[in-house]
Amino acid sequence: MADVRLENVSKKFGNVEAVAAFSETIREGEFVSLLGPSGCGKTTTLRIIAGFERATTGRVFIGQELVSCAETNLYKPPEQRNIGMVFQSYAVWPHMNVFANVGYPLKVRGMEKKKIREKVGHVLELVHLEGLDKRLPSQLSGGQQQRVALARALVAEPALLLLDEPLSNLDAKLRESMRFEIKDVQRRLGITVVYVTHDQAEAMVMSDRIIVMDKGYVQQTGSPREIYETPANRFVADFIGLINFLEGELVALEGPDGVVALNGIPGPVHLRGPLHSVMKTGDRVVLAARPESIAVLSEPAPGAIPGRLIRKIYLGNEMDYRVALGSLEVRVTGPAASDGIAEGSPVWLSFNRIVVMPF
Amino acid sequence: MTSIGRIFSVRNLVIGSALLFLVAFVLFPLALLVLRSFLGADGEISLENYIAVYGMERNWDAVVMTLWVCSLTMLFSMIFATGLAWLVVRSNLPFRRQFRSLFFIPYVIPPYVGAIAWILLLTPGVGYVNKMLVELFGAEMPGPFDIYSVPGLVWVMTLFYYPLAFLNVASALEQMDNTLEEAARISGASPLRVFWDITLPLVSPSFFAGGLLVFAASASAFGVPAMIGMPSRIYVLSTQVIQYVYMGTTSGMREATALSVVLMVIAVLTMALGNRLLSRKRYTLVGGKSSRVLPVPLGRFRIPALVFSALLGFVLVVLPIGAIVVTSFVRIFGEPTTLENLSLEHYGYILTFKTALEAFWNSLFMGITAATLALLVASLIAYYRVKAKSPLGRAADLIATVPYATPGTVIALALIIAFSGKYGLNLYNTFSILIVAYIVKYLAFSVRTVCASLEQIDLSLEEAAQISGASWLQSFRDIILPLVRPGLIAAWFLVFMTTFYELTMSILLYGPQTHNLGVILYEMQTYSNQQAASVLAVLILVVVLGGNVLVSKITRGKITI
Repeated sequence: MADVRLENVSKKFGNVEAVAAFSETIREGEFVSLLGPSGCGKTTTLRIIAGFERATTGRVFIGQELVSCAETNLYKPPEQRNIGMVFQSYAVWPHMNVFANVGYPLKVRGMEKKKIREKVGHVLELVHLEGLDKRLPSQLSGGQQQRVALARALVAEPALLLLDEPLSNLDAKLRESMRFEIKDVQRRLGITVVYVTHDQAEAMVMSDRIIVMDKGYVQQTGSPREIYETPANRFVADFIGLINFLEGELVALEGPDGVVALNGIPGPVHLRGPLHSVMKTGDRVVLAARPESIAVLSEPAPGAIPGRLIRKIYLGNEMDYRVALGSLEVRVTGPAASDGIAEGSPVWLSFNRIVVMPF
Repeated sequence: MTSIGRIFSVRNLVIGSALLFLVAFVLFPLALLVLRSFLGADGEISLENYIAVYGMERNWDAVVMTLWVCSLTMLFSMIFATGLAWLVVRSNLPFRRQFRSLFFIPYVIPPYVGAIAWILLLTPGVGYVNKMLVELFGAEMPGPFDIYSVPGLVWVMTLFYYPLAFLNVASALEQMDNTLEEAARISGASPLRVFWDITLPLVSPSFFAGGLLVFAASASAFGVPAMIGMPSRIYVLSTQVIQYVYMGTTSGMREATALSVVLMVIAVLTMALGNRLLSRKRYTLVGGKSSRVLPVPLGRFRIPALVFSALLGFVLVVLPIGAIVVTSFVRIFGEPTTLENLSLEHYGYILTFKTALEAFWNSLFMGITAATLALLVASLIAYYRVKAKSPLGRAADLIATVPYATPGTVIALALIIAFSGKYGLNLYNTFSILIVAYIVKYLAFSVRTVCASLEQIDLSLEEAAQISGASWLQSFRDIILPLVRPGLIAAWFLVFMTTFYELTMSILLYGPQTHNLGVILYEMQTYSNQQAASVLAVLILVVVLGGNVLVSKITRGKITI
């Protein structure tokens, strides 16, 4: 097992900066996701680690070893990096059966046949493909091909496992169960994993840490909880889950706490600090609140902002409310049981958790 | 409606007449040809003809020579095509897109024009290359090369038929999911090992299919073996058949027939085998392409590869076309190419030569007629095949592929036998027999092109037009027609161009009034009027290359001949 260190890595395609100043360390045994919309640079970063792209600047270490350094023109080709990789299209070789596919990394390493047979047997067991070793890929389902790809990536016991959107070609149900299966395999082997996905739910479920990227830049790095509860900026907040943005101005600081006047909404909102260290009176701010961190009240309460319930939708496990606050519309979710308020009634919104971001 | 009414609906009558045309002009003549080859002198079924024909050594020699020349051509083409395809698709060769187009140009040049060019270059004593080697490097007269030989024949056939293999291998390499190769790299395999273990096995169906197509095409070829082989008595099946037909005797016809059937079997079998290899799709899996194909670095071989490719492009394209263009302006062929020896007199000769002018107008007239009629029939077949999904449409499509695989020599002979009046219809020496031959031979081209453009029109596009309030006619006019128009125009030009310079069938079917450009050019070449032949070749090249540029503009590069 090994850690992965990228230092100031960037990649330009012509004039387009695909990855900019990427510096991160992925610890030994850690499961890290690169998350972002298409074109954010996540796949390019992964391919730089694999050695399929050469970085324009920066250095890449796998374990103690420097595998790529743009400045000194040092570059180790992919076949010498001892990495396992699962591709989006699985890339299972159609002219070889399951056994030949999975055993290939051992074969090119010159391992003896008996040893290969044994190791392939083990890894096929690990991914629940026992007894299918004579099948051709065309005789396998998408999910099984995926497992073959995973087995092939693991068989040579690589220091590092890279996965490039491996679940995006599967149907929803299979995708869900494969998430747990991949995570389970990673835990059992204790292998370091870098996982590329555009699916935030996938990243949340599987990762120890998520690196959110946009337009080539890292936007935030943190545990799934940190990313969800305290997004660093508007992009991260918007990309992960649903969120309401309220824009306004910090009108007063009362010690660490602040008073914010929101655009289009009557009445000030009191925020608990520490705000004094990052902001001053007169700054424009954005308040971000998740729908589930807001409560809809039928009575006024201290700190609650008055509004009007426009629409409520029953979703089975919860209620979805649209509330008008002045000229804004706010989305709130609440328990399905408390269905008592009629559409059109006045309501009060109580914000349990608000993230304050610079404008 | 009654069931009888349904059978005789307008729709079935229309496709029925297209089918009838195919039965009358494809199945009937070819069946007759095969049948005739098994009829003895008294009209009984026997192997008499075959025993007589293959008892003669010269006929055996022709069979063996055909197999030998075609095998060599196939072998060299496969090696040549695979190397070049890999170079232009997967390596980091500079200008590889441009080289891809350059290496494909021989495909659109009529092979007999290529033969003329290489005769001009490699004739002992007077060929440009031989002369240069003698003058500059002191080689012994008449120079080291002799085009009129088996190696000469294989050389020209390889240069002009290898693109069939090149096209197949290149598109297989292009369509291959390159993460398959990346997966092998990350598994620890070196680039060379990846080529052997992954790339080569995956393109092997296209590799062999391409080779078989080259074999079938060179077995069907007439122009090249006639111009290069016949002067030194090297006969292959197609040239041998023509020899017999030209005898004009009953026994000559019988021998031609028996030879033709063997030629047809060789060509149809190899082509069928090739298509079968290609259609086997056991290698298709979940689609997917890597975000970016990383070309394989050639390292220190990059510049040598560039020089090699440039030289090859020169030999493949510049040298032959140059030889023809220069010769068309040379006053006396064989004299040094000096300013005094340049003139336009041969252009003047051709432009005032009545037979050549007639040939030009005949070519134009027959090309336009055949292309238009073929397009009409092909559109009907394609519509019934793709849109109406009618079994009659499928049957017509199937029949149309038979003459596509059958050598032109065989088709022409079959048409002569069937339509010389013996069976109620005499088309001998008429424009009709030539036009019918062209339509029949190239119909599959048009059907395939039109089918391809119809298939990309999803039914929902028409339905969307209808739900928007358009009648069937309006939706046809506003939706279908604009979408298939490029395909239709391309199909028309493909048939027009190949018909315009056709030689193989024309040489058997032309009459006193119906000679075309190919025939005139062939005669000038065989009577050693090299400059006049070159003038005609230049004319043909202009039309063909111009037409291809046009077609690839119209279809945005998707279709060439």
